[in-house]
Amino acid sequence: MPAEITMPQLSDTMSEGTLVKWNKKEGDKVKAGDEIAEVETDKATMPMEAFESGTLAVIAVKEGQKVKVGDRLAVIATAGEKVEEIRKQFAGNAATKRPEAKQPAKPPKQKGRQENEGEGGIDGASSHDIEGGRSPVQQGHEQSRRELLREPREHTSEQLASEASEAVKSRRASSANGAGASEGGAGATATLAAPAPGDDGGGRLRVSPLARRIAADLGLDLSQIQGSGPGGRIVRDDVLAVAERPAAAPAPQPPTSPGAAASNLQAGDKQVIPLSKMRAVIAARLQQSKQTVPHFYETIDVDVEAVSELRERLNKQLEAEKVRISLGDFVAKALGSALLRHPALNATFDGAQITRYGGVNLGIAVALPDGLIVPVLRGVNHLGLREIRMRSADLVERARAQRLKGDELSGATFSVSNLGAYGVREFSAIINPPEVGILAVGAAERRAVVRDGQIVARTMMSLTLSADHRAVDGASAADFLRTLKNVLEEPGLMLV
Amino acid sequence: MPEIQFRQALRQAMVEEMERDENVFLMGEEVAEYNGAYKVSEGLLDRFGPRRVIDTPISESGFSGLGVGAAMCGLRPIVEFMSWAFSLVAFDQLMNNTANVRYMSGGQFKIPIVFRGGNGIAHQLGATHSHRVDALYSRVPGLVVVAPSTPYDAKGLLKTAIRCDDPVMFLESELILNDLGEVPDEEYTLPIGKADIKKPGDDVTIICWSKMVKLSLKVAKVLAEEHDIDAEVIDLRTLRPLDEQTCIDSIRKTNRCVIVDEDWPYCGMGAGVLERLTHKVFDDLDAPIGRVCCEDVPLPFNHYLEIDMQPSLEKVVEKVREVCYR
Amino acid sequence: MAVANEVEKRSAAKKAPAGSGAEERKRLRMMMLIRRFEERTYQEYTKPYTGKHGEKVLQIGGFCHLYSGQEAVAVGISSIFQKGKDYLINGYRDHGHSLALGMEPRAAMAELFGRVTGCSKGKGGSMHFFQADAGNLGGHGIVGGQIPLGAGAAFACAYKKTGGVCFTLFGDGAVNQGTFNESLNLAGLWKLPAIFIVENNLMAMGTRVERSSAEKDLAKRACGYNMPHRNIDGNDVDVVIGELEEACHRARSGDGPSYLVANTYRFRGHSMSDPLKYRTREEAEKARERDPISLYETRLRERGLINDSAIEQMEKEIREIVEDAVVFAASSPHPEREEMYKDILSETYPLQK
Repeated sequence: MPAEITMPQLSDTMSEGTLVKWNKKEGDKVKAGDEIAEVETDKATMPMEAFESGTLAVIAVKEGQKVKVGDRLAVIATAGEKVEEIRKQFAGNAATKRPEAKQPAKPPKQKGRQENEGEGGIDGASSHDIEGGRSPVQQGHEQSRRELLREPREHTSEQLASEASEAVKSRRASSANGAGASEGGAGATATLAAPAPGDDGGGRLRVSPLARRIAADLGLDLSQIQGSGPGGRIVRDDVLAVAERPAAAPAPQPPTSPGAAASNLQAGDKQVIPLSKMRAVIAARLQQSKQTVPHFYETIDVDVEAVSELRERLNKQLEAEKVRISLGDFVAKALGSALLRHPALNATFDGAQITRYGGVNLGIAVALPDGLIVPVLRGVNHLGLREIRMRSADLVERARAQRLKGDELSGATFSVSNLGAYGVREFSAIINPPEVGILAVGAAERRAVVRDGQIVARTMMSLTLSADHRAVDGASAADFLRTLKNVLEEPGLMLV
Repeated sequence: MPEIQFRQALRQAMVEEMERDENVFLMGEEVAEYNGAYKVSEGLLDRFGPRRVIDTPISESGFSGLGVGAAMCGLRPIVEFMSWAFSLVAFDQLMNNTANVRYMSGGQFKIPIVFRGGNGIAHQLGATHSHRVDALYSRVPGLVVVAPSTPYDAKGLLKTAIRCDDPVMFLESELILNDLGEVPDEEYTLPIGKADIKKPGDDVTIICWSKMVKLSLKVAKVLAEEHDIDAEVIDLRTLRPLDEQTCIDSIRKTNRCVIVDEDWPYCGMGAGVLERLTHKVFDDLDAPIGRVCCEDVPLPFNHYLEIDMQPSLEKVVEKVREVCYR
Repeated sequence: MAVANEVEKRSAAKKAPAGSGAEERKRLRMMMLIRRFEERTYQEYTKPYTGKHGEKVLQIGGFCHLYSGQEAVAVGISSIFQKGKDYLINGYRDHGHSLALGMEPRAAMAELFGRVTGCSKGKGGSMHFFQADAGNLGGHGIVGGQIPLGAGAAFACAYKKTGGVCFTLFGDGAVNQGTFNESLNLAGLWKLPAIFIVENNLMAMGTRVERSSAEKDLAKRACGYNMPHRNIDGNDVDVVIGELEEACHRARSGDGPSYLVANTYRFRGHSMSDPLKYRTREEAEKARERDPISLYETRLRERGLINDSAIEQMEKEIREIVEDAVVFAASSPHPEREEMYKDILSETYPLQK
C-alpha cells in the first residue's frame, strides 16, 4: 500500500494549514521520522514527519498552498512499489481522486472466420487442438467448429483482471459511504493511540484462532492482553492467564476509548476529539431518550448462588464442546421467559401507541473502542443456553469487527446492558427508544446478607430496570423484576 | 503373542490370502526363484508354484498394466515393485489405467489389485532409488494408499487390501522390514481408512505414518521426559482415503499439531494432509500446524548429507516445542 | 502403399470359405452401420445447441477419432469373437469395434454426447467406450497404454483356463511406445493367449510410418518376441477373418500369442481437427478404390448373396437406426451433479473385510 500523507491537525482549532516548505523532492528516499515538510498552522510553523519509509513518489501541493486538514499532501511508495505506477495512480492534485481503471492496450480481438483462414495458426489452441501432449496441428475444422461457440466479445485475461479490480474498488467505495459510521472517527485518534499489546504495528492483533475464540467466550478484550508467542502473538495461555487473575486484580479493562487515551496526555495538555459519526449518533439518540422518555428505575438484588453452581455444572458438561456459558447468558435466558409473562415490558412505544410482542428480541449493548452498539439476539425465548452463548458470542465478535448486517441492529423488543465484568455493582441504563425498558446488570459478587436471621456470605447480583413511564407503571415493572428474580434464583423455572 | 518381523507379517498376509482365494497371485521382479529382493516373498514359490508366484522381466509398465488387465478380468493380483521408485516408469499404468478405468467405464469394471513394495529413503541409495511416492498416488481419485508402521498393522491391512475391490497402493519401507512386533496367531484384518492413535496425549498431536511413526514415538518420549509435553501420536496408516476425523478430534483436544513425513516440503504428502485439516481446525489452533519433512533437495548420496536431509528426532522435538510455545 | 499391395496378393489364398449368406450379409450390414454412424458423428460434431444455462454448447465435445475406412478389421474380429470368453481392448479409435461387438448405437451416440444414457454414463467420452458384458475392455486414450492391459486379460484367460483370448488393438503409432515392447515380450515369454493387431492406417496422427519407424515393415517390429508376425490386408474382411482364425486357434491351444499388422487406410483425419495436409488427394482417392465396404459388397453381389433392393433396404434401416441414436442421445439427460462422485471406488471406507 502506498502511504498517503495528509494535512495533519496540529492544533485543536486548526482546520487548514499552509505547506510552507518541502524538505524533500519527488524521488527522494525518506525514512520514517524524517521531517519532510514544514506546515504552518494558525499558531506556529511545525515540522511534519513521514510515518513510512520509502520513496517520495508524489508531491501533491506546492509550497505556499493552503490545504484542508485531511487532504493529501504527498504519497510515499513503500518497499516493493513502483514509483512510476504510484505517480500514475495518484496523478493530479485532488486528494480524493481515485486511480484510473487500467485500460487494455488493445481492444479485444474479434476473431473472425477470415482472419483464421489464411494462416491456420495456433492462436486459440486448446485441448481440442493438442492431443496427448503432442504438438498442435494446424487448424482445420476444429477452428471453424469453435467459431460456432464464440461469444461476440472475448475477454483477455488482462481485461478480466482490470475489470475485477475495478469491481472491488467500486464495491469498497460504496460500502465505505454507506457504512462509514463506525470508521469515521477512527482517524482523529489514530495517531495518538499507542499500538496495543499484541498489535503487529499494522493495527492488526496477532492472535491464535483458539485464543481469539476463548477471549470471545470469556468476554475479554484482546487488545489488553500481552502476547507471548512469536511476534507477540496472543496464545491460549495468555488469555487464560488474564481470565484466571484473582478478582482483586484489575478486572478486564474496558475497550480503549477516547477517555482512556486521554491518560496519555501530559499535565497542561488538552485534546479535542471531533465526534465520529458513531459518537454523534450515540450523542443524539441518548440525549433524545433521556430528554423525552420519562425514565424510572427499580433495582432488585438477586441471589445467584444456585444459578452459579448450575453454570459450573453445565460448563463441565460442555467442556468438550468448548462452550462456556456466562451468568449474562442466564440473565438473557431468564429475560426470555420473564418478558413473555410481562408483555408490558416487551414492547415499543411510539408516542401514540404501545406495541407488544409475542417473541423476545433482546438488544445486547456491546462496547466498542469508540462507542457502543446494540446488536439484537432474536427469539431469545426459544433459545437454549448453548444457543444463547454461541449466538451472542458471534454477535459480539462481529460487532467488534464491524461486520454486523443492518437487520442485526434493529428490531429489539427489550435491551440489556451488562457491566458485571467491570466489577460495577449496579448502574442505571438509558432506554433505547422505541423500546420501553432496559436492564442494567451488575457484577455477581460475594456479599454479606441476612438469611434466617444470620449474616451469611452469598453470591449476589443487582439488576436495575430502567422503564418508560409513559408505557409502563411502577408496579408492573416491579412485578416483572420479581419474576425475573424468581427465575434466576430457581433456575429450574427456566425449564417450566 | 509371538513377535515377528515386518516382512514376515507381510508374507503371512499373502500366504493366508492366497490360500483363501485361488484368484490371488503374486507377480514382480525376483519374487519367485530369488525369494524376493527383500525376502518378503521367501518360500512362496515352493508353496504355491510358478503359476501363482511369478517372476517378471524388468518391465514395470508391462507387468503393472498386465496386472490391471488381469484384475479387470476377475483376478486379484499382488504386484510387487522392488522399489516404489521403479513405479515411476509405470506411472501411466497407475495414473490412467489403474485409477481411471472404473470411472471412465461408468463403474462397469472394478480393479481389485494390490501394488506393494519398499517406499522412500533407505541407506545411501541416491536420488533415483529413494523416492517417496506417497503424495504422487494419494492425490489420485480412484486409488487407495496404505502405509503401515508395525508388523501387526502391516498384516491386518495387507489382508484387507487383498480382499478390497479397489486398487491399493501398499507402501512399505526397507528400513522397517526387520522391525519386530507382536502379531497374534489367530486370523484378523484391520480397517483401511482408519488412523490409529499409537500414543494418547493432551498437549500436541503428532501426525505421521510408515517409518516416521517410530521416530515420532521416540520424539514423544523425549518430549515427556525432558520438556513435560504430552504428545499424542497418530499413525494415519491409510493416506487415501484420509481419516480426517481422528486427526480433527485429536487437534480439538490438543490445539496444536505437527505433521512428520519424509516427503518434500512443497506439494508433499504432509502438505496435503495439512490442507485437509487446517481449515477444519482453524478455530482450535493455538499455533500454526507445524511440519517436519525432508529438505527441498534431491536425495544426496553422502551418508551425513542424507541424514541431514531427513526429519530427525531433534528437528521434530524443536518443531513441537515451537508450536507449544515452549 | 507397396506393402499393402504385396499383402493383398499374399493373403488372397487365405480368404474365408463362402458361407450361406446370412453371416455375410450381417457383416456387410455392420460395416455399413459403422460407416453411417461415423459419418453422422462427423455431422453432429460441429453442431452447437443451447445448453442448460442458455449458453452454446457443442453436441459432441473433446477429441473424436473416426473409424471410416477401417471397418473390415473390427467386423472381422467380431465375426470370430466368442462372447462370454474372449476380450477385446482398443486405443481411442474405438467406435467401430464397440458397435461390432454389439454395443447399442444409442448407447454409443449418447456417450459421444456425454449423456447419462451413454455406455460409460457420459464419463468416458469418444475415446473411452466400455462394455463389460460384451468383453469390451474399452477404448483407451493414451497411445499404447492399453497394450499391457490386453496382455493382462490374456493372462487371466490362461490363469483361469477359460480358453478365451484377448484381441489387443492399437495403431501404427503405438508400435513405438515402450509398452509395446514390454507387453509383447511378456506375452511371448509366458505364451499368453493374446492376439496383437496393429491397425496400420499408415499415419500416426500426421506422421507417416516411414518417418516414425526405423523398420518400415511393421510386421518385422515383432521379430524378437517369439510369436508369428505378419502383414495382412486389413481392408478385406474375409482375409481378416481367415488370419484371425489361425491366430485364435493357436492361442486357444496354448501355443501363445500372434501379431498381425492389418494394413488399411483411414478416410477421415486423425481426429476432427486434422486438416489432412500430410497426404495427397490422389492417395486418398486411390485408397477409396479399396473401400472395405465396396470390396465386400461387390464380392457378395458376385456370389449372388445380395442385390440392389437388399442393399437399399439395409441402407434405409441403418439410416433409421443411426437417426434414432442421434435423437435418443440429444434428448437424453446430462448426468446429475452427484454422478460425478460415483464409480470412483467400489468400496466404502473405512473398509474391513
